[in-house]
Amino acid sequence: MMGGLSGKAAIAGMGATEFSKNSGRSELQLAVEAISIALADAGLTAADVDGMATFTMDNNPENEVMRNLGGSDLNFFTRVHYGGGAACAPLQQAAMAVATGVCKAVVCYRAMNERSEARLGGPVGLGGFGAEAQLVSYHTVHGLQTAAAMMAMSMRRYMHETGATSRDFAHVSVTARHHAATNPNAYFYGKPITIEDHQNSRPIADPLRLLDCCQESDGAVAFVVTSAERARDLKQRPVIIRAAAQGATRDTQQLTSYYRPDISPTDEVRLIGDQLYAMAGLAPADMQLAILYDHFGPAVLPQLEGYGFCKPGEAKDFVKDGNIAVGGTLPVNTHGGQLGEAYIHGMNGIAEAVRQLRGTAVNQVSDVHNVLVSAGNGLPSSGAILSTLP
Amino acid sequence: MYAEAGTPAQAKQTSYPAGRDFAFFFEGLAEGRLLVQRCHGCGTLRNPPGPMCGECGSLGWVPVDVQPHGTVFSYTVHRHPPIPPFATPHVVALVDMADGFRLLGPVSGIAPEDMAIGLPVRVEIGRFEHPFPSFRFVEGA
Repeated sequence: MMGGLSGKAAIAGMGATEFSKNSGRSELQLAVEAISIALADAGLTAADVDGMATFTMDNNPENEVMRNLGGSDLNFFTRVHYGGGAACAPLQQAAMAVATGVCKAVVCYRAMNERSEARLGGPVGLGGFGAEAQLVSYHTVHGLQTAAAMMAMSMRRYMHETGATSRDFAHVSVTARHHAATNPNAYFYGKPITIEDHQNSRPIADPLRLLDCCQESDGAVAFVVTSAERARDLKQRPVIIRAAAQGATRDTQQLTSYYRPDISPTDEVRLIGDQLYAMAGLAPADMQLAILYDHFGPAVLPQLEGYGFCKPGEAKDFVKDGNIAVGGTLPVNTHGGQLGEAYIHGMNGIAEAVRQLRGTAVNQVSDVHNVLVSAGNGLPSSGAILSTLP
Repeated sequence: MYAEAGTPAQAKQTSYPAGRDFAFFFEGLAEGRLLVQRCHGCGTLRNPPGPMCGECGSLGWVPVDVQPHGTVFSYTVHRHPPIPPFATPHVVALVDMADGFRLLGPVSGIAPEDMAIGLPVRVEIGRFEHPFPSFRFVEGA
C-alpha cells in the first residue's frame, strides 16, 4: 500500500561545507555556502527557491538566508521542533510542500558552529515557565544535565533487559571509525580505533564512554527538493523520497522518556518505521544500507531493532557479527557517522545516503536502491527511505 | 584524542521548576513531604506533573503524600563534565516507587560501583546541593 507522499518528491541537489572544529566564519555564511553549492549541484539558482525547511537549534532565520542568497519570494517556511530528532523532518515537509503544489523547490539546510561557538555537548538548561522549560528543569535540578547522561539512563536499562554490554556497544564506534578512516571529509580520516581503544576510553556517564559519544562539529549541509518529475530533467541523478515520517509516542520526551514501560529509545523508532515501510511498500530486507543516527553509538542498537533489521534484544549480536560494516548484510553509517565524520545533526547522514544512491560514496556499497535514514532517537523523531528511480 | 581543550562546563539550571504544574512538589519538600499528583477523576498518580490526566481527561488533581521508598529501575553515574553544585562522580537514579509511579533523583551515600538495578532506596528530604528544599535517594527500604 503506497502512501500518497511516496515517490512524489526527490532530492535534486546537495551541498556541504567542509566539516571542522572551527569554521572561522559565521553560521549564516556556512548556510549560504552549503545552499549555493546545493543549488549549483541541481542546476538551479536562488530565484528558483520558493520554500525552506529546517529544524530547531539552527540559528539561521529563513528570511535572512534568503536575503543573503539573493532569492525573492518564499511561499513556505517551516522549522520542525526537537533538534536532532527532526533531522529527517525537513525532507518530509519539503516532500509534502512539493507534492501538494505549494512549492516547486524547497531548500533544506543545517548550519552550525556547535564546536567553536555554542557547544552542544555541555549541560542543558532552559529558564522560564513554559512546559518544556519546566520539564527540563525538573530533570536538570537533580544533576541530570547532559545529553550523554540522559541517554545513559535509558541505555543502562536496555543493557539490563537485553544483556548487551559496553563491549557490544564498542562495535558501533569501531565500525563508524573504520568507515571514517577512508573518508577524507571525516574528522577521524585515517584514525581507526579498536575495541580495546573503546573499552579504555574514559567513562562520561556510565555506561557511556567517550568513544560512545559523537563529536561536536562546525559545518553545514543543504539539499534541494523538487518534484520527482522535475528532478529527472535536472543535472543529477534524482534521489527519490520514497517515504518520510515523524514519530512521537504518548510518553516520548526529549531524552528523558523515563515514564513508560520500556525506556530504551525504541518506541518512536517503531512508530516511524511502521509508517516508512507502509508508505514505501518496502520491508527492512529491501534496504541495502542504513544511516542510523549516532548521537551516541549505543543508541544505534535499539534503532536496529525498532526499524526491524533484527529482533528485539538481538542487536548486540547483529553488531558483533560484522553485519554493519561495508561488506556486511546491512552496512550502517558508511561515511563514518557522527562518531567518525562529523556531527551535523543528521544532515550529513542524509548526504551520505544521497551519495550512495548516486553511486558516488567513498565507501560505496554495490547496487544501492533503497536507504533508510533516521534521526535522533530518544526524542520526538523522524526518518526517511530514499531510493533510486524505479 | 581531541586536539582542542574543552570549555569549562557551567551548570545552567540551579533553580527548581516553579511553574503552576510543578511548584507543589518543591513546596511539599519544604514541609518535609513527598507529594505526587493524584487525579480527581480516576485516582491515578502521575509523574512528571501535568495539568490533565492522560487516563481520564480530568483537570482536577490534588497533591498526596506517598510512601518514600522504591527500587532502582535504572541509573547513571555522571562523570564528565563537572556540573556544580553536584560533586563528581554524581549518581542519578530512576526509581519505581512503592505507590506505582516513577521518580528521578540524585543518589547519595552509595558508591557508584555499588549501584544496581533493583536496589531498594528511600527518599531523604532536606537541603542538598541547592539553596532550596530538595531530596535524595539513599540505600534502604
